Amino acid sequence: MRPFLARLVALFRRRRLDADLSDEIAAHLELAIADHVARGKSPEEARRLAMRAFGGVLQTEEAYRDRQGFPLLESMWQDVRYMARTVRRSPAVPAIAVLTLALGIGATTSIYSVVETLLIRPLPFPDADRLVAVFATSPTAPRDTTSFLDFSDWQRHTRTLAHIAAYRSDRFNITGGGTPEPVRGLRTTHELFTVLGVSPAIGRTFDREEQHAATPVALIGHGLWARRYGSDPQILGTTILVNEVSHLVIGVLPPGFEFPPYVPTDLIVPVPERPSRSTGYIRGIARLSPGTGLAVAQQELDAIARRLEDAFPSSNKGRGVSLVALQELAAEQVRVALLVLLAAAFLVLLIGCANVGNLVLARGIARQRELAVRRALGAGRRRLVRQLLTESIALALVAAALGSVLAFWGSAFLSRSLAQRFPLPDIAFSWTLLLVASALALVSGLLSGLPPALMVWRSGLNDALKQDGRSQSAGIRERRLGNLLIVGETALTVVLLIGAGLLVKSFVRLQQVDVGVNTRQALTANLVLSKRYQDHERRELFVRQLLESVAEVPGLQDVAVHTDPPFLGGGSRETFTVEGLDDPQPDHGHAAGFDVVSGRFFHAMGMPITRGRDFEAQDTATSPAVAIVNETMARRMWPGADPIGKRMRLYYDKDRQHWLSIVGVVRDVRYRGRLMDPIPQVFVPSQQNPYKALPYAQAPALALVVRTGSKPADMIAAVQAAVWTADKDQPVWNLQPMDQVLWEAAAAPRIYMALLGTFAAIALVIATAGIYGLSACAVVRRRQELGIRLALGATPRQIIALVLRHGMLLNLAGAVAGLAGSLALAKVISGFLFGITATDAPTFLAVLLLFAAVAFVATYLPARRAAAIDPGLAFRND
Amino acid sequence: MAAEKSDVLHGTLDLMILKTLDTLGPLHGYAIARRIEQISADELAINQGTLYPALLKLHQRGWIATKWAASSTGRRVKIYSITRRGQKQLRAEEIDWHRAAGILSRFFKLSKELP
Repeated sequence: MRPFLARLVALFRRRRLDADLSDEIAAHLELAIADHVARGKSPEEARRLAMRAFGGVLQTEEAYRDRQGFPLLESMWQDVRYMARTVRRSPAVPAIAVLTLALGIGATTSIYSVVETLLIRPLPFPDADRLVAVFATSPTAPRDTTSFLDFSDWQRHTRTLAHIAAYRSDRFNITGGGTPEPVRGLRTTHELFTVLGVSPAIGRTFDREEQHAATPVALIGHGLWARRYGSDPQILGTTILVNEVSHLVIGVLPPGFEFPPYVPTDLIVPVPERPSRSTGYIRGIARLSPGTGLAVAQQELDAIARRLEDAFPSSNKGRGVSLVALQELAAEQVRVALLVLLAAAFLVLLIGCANVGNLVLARGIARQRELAVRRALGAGRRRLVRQLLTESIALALVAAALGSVLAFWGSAFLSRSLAQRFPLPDIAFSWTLLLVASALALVSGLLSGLPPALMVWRSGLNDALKQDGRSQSAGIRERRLGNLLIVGETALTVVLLIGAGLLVKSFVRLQQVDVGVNTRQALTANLVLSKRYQDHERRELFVRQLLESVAEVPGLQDVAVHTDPPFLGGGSRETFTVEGLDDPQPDHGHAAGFDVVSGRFFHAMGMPITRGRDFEAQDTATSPAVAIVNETMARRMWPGADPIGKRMRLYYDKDRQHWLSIVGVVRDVRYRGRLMDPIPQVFVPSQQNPYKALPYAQAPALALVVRTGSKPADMIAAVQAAVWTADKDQPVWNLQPMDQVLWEAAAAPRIYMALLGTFAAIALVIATAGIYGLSACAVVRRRQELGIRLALGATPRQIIALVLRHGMLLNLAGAVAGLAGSLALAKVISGFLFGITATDAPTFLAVLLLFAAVAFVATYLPARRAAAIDPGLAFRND
Repeated sequence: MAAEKSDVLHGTLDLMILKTLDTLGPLHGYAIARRIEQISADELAINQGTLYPALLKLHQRGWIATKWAASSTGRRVKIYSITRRGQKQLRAEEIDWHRAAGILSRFFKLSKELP
């Protein structure tokens, strides 16, 4: 420690200490000479003897200084300063190198941070790796809900699952005191807290008996507690209105509690127990017993499910159980996309590394002479290699710093854009990320600094000194390496460009798809009606009041409600029996989307009736039941015939008498968003709603459609107020322009396209810089040769052709390799494409042309300079 | 000729400097060099120059102190003196040295006695 401090102090007194040493050595020599003279030597002889006894003055000073300071650090500092000087002289090449590396590092680390959060970091529950989701399976649905009786049997018979709970995600209206608030939450059995290993922040959970308490109990989320109740601990023991029903608050959930993972949870109430095996409405969540694997548990539950199938064939035929690790489930929507993006980002990093390697290599070749001269002057081989490596590490560190900043922005951007579409945790800038960035930078710095360093290491002193512009023998291997790097770089770039090209084209295709409604000037909102409206007449009354109230908003053209809001991915389906048609499969009927709509619905949506008529005032609760179908339905059920007047009925209609007469055909709408073709669709007027009594306590959902004249966004507040005029306790969800719903539905492909497109653009810029750099270097290297050619009568055109041929040959090789790579990777990307195949020839061609054009320009510019070489100057290269 | 002189044993130069300063009191560099040469009767093949990095090391460790003073001829010279820490170190090293030398000499005796 003490010597270290002494060295540290010495750093700041360098000049003074140096002078002292010289002084001391001079004194030593003087004393020695005086001694020798005193013993009778001549002054010259005395001086010679003194010097010989002392040894080398310079070596002494050198050894002294090394001991005085930090020799390794100092020589590195020297190298860095030397480098800074050269960079200041010609900043282009190092700037490109740093920038490309920084972009690569930034992209890779920001994607990596998302990957880490989603795929690697465990969910925020104790021993989260033992949590499994328990789904029922049926021949048509691999992940179905289950009935309460089936769930109870699983619970009773399982040994491999330590605890299992049933839950159902739901939306609730919280009313009383202030504006009504829609919240997301869970209905669950009491075991949920045991399974997840979660205890409330304050208060308690409920037990088996309280699942049926006369006054239902509730736990509220930490966020809701703070937001609505001012974090008042006195909330415990009071009652709140949930869906109009008094609930006793018994606890507050811990902050940040989210279940299912990343879905905000503001309320937990007991799940109702329905004594049926055919009503699936809950999902299971379980904790594996200690020492039990997922596969063993799956086997056990398979056996349990088979026993249930045998015991209750009417309800359980074909029903099984499927266990999925919760961690996997939480990330599965984005897993493939993330891995593809990570791979793409890694490609960008690779391209960046190849480019830096190329630039450092080219500079190394250009500096052969300088390095050789320095070796001849006594610089150690080790010292020169260290210098080269120091340079590339310094480059890499600057790139890492820049890359970290980019990664910081990138991960914030990524988490924001992904969160639009997927339930996601917050992705924050982490130290891991910074470490990863630095590690990547160092590795790439070392890798790209290695070839020129090796070159110095290998080359003998003589070789290097002998080599001048005319002898090209040394460095051939390195140039071959440079060519290889360029080919690899262009190949990877072409792969990225083709991937991005496919995604862009696919996205354009997607945006060109007509969804079938005019979404420009419309607002939509979702309402979850309270229990008071469970009764059919009351609901109709409320709907009428709601429509009247909203219709009074100035500037509004049409308003309607319906039950199946479009573009949200879900949607209700029904099974129909069509008169005159056999059911395609016994027990299955004809499936179609089913929407119960109010009077002006087709006007409000902007869906034109193509045949027959709209619903009219004459269609009342007592008049003959009518329906309107879409074109796809008409085409499928009655091909070539006029569907008007045909009849159909709900397959599960008990009395089998409620026939619906088709009175009109409406244009196809892509109800499930642009990604999916239109499905058959049936519309019935709300005054003839076949669902007179709603099943169970499920709150009926309604969607509001408002056609606006002006900008829809400007009318949001007025529409909201109008809804509250009709019922001041009615929460409104997702009140937003319909365009936005559609835009958000396409968020996933848009994000993939934008990211891959960005990566491809970065890659193209990097590769262009690399191609340009290599071409320019080749021209500098071949100056004399080209000068001789010019002097011997070659035309500038021939010189350009010569240089171009070499460069473009490499680019061509790279492009071909890239095409082959893209074909090999077609399968990976095809899952993200819409409307085109992964081997779309026009895209491949367009990318090739774009790349060829860019590569040509990047090669041509240096070639033109080559043609302008003055032969006279070229000979005097040195 | 140089081959007949023995190289400085690793680390012994430090010991010699400390012992010199301990015995003779404060000295300048040249005097230390002369003293070591005299004691070793010119059998050590060291350059006087190597003395200075060694002095620096001892100084950094706090075993010797330095100060600038005028020599008898009025020349500005750096005077080295042993510190208390240095003396302590010297005692410890002396004991170590004697112990090590004792062990080695017993070894040489032993190997002579055995065939």
